[in-house]
Amino acid sequence: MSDEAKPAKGVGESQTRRGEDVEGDEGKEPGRHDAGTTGHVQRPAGTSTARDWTGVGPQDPIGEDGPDASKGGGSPDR
Amino acid sequence: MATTVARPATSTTVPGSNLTEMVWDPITRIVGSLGLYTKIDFGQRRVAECYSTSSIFRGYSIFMKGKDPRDAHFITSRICGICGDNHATCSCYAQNMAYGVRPPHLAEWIVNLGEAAEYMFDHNIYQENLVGVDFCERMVRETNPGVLEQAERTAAPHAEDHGYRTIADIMRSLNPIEGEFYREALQVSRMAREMFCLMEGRHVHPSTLYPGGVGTVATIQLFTDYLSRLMRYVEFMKRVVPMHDDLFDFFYEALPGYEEVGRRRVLLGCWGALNDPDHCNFEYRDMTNWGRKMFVTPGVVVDGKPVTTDLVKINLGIRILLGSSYYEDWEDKEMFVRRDPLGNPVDRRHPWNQHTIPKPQKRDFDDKYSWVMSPRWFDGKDHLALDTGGGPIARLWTTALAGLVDIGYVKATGNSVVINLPKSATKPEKTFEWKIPKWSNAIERDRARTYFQAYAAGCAVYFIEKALAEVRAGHTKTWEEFKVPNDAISVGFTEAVRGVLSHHMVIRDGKIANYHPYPLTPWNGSVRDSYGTPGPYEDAIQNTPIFEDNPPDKFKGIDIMRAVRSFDPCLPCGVHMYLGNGKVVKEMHSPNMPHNSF
Repeated sequence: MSDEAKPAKGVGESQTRRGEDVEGDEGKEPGRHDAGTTGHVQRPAGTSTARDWTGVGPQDPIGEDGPDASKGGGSPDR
Repeated sequence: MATTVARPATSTTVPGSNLTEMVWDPITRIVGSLGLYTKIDFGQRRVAECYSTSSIFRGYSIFMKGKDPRDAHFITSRICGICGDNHATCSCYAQNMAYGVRPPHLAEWIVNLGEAAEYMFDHNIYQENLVGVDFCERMVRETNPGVLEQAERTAAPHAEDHGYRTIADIMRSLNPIEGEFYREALQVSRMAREMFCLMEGRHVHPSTLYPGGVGTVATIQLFTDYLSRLMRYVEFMKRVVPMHDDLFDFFYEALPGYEEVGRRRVLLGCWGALNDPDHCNFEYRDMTNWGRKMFVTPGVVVDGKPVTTDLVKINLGIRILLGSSYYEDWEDKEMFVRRDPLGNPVDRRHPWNQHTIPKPQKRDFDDKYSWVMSPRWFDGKDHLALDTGGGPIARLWTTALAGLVDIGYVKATGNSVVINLPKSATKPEKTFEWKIPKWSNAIERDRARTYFQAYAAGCAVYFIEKALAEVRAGHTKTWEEFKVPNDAISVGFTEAVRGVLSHHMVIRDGKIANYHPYPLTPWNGSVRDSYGTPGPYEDAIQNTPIFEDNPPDKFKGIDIMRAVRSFDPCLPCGVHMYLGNGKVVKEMHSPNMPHNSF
C-alpha cells in the first residue's frame, strides 16, 4: 500500500467557518474587549461586559466594587 | 538520591527445565487488542520468553495527510475512547506552536483543570475496577489460597484511615460488582468525568478545546461546580492512598521476592504535563525553559538517575525503529525536516521524517509479529527502550528527581513528592509522600497510580484558585485568534493518562504534510527492534517469577497479568485499522434493517 495515499477530493478541505474566520469577517462579539497582554510571556488578556452575557437588558455593575451578576453564570443546578 | 537495586543476570536455558507455551490473546481488563505469547518454565517457576503482539492497524498517520491542520485535534481525539482528550490537548499544543498563538491565562487553567480531571477519572476507574480485580479476594482465593488465609489474620496498618480492619477486608471490597469499594469507585469515576465535562464540554472528545484556547464560558458557577466535586474526590483520596499502601505492602510481606514480578531496568520517560501560562509561550526556541516549568516535569531517568529534563533534547532523541513490526522502511523516502527551529540536525528516523508504509503479513515470532513499531530514545550511545510504567511512576519519578515543582499542594523534594491535600468535608488536612522506590516493578507502578491520583487532585485545587482569580479580576478572555501559516513544523508534548504523548506535525501549503502521534503504547508495547532489543512489556514479563499455586492445567497466570496490567495497556493508541476492500463474512436479512453484510 502506498504511503502517498491522499483523501478523496474535497475531504481534506474544511467546509465549516471557524472562529477565526468569523472574527475576521464580523469582528469581535459584542461585549468583549481586548486588554493587551499580561504576564511574563505576554499572553493575551481581555474583559467582557454584561452585553457579552446577554443582549436582553444587560446591566453592568453599578460601581467599580459592585457585584457583577453576569460573572456568576446561569447554569442550572447540578 | 534513590538507590536502585541492580537486577541479577538470569539464563534462559537451564537443565531440567519444563517449558510450557501459554498465550493470553486478547488480554481482558485492558483497552484494545494485546496478546502475550509466553513460554513458562514451571520447573524453575519463571517466564522464560515473552512476545507482545497487537493485531490491529488503523493508519492515522496516513489519512491525516492533506487535512486542514485546524481539524487535527478533532480527528486525533478519536484515536482513543479513553484518553482522546489527551490527544486533543497535545494536538492543540502542536497547533499553538505552528500558528504562533498563545491562549489567554484563563484558557490554560481550564485546560489544566480538564487534564487533571482526566487523570483523576481514568486512573480511578482503571486502578479500582480493573487492576483491583487482580488483587481481590476471589482472585487471591483461586490463585494463592494461603495468601488469603494470611490476609484474614493480618490487621490493616491504616484501618482508621480507610475503615477496613484486615487486608482480607480490603480484598473483599475489591471483588468485581459485589465489592463495596469497587462500587463506590464507579460513582467516583462518574463524578470525575463530570468535572472534565464542565471544563471542556464533553468527555472523551472535548467540544470546547481548540488551538488558541477554549470556548468554555468561564463563570464563578462553573468553577464552583467543579470545586464541589473536586473536594469530594480529595476526601476519597484520603482513604484510597493508605488503603492501597496497606494492600501492596502486604503482598511484599506475604510473598517474599514479589518485587521481581514485572520488574525491569529503570528506563523511564515522561514528556511533562500541565503548562504554566506564566512561562509557556509555545515557542520551540523556548521549549527547554517552559518545559521545566510544567507542573509535571519532563525527563528521562536511566537506572534511577536523571538524564535530562530538556524537552528539546528529548525531542531530538526520539527514534522510530522497525525490526519486528509489519511495516516497510522509509530509508529512501523524502525527509521533511532536516533541522529543528534551533538549527539542530533532525534524524531520518525521527517522527517528523517518518513515512508509515504498512505491510500486512502472517505473524512470525522469529521475524515480524506486531503492528506496534519500536520507538526508542537515543542518548548519544544507545537506543533506549524507555517505558512509562503506566504513566504515574514515570511522572512522579522525574518530577521528584528534578525538584522543580512547588505549588504548596504538591512539592518535589529531589527524592520524593509531597502531596498536601486540604481539609475536606469530614477529614482534616492530610499529607502524603511518594518516595522514589527501589524497583520499577508491578507493585510500584500500581502504587504510584494511586499517589498520582492524589497529585492530580492537589494540582487541581491550585489551578482552580488561579482560574477563579482570573475571573474575579475580570479577565474573561478564553481564546485568541490565529492564522494558519503556509509552512510550519511543530510538536506538542504532554502526558496521556498512561504516559508519554507527542504529536509531530509538518504543514505545507496550509495543509498537513506529515503527522505522527506517538502515545505511550508504542513505547510500552513495542517489539524487538532492529537491534534485537525487546520492548518493555516483553522484558518486564520475561524472567518474572511465578508465585501462583495452581498447576499448569489450572494456571491463570495471575503474576503475569499483574505485571502486564501494571503498565495500564491501552492498545488503540498503539496502532493507528485499514480493512482494504473488506471481506463478506456473513449476510443476513432483517425486516427492520437494510441489507447488512459485515
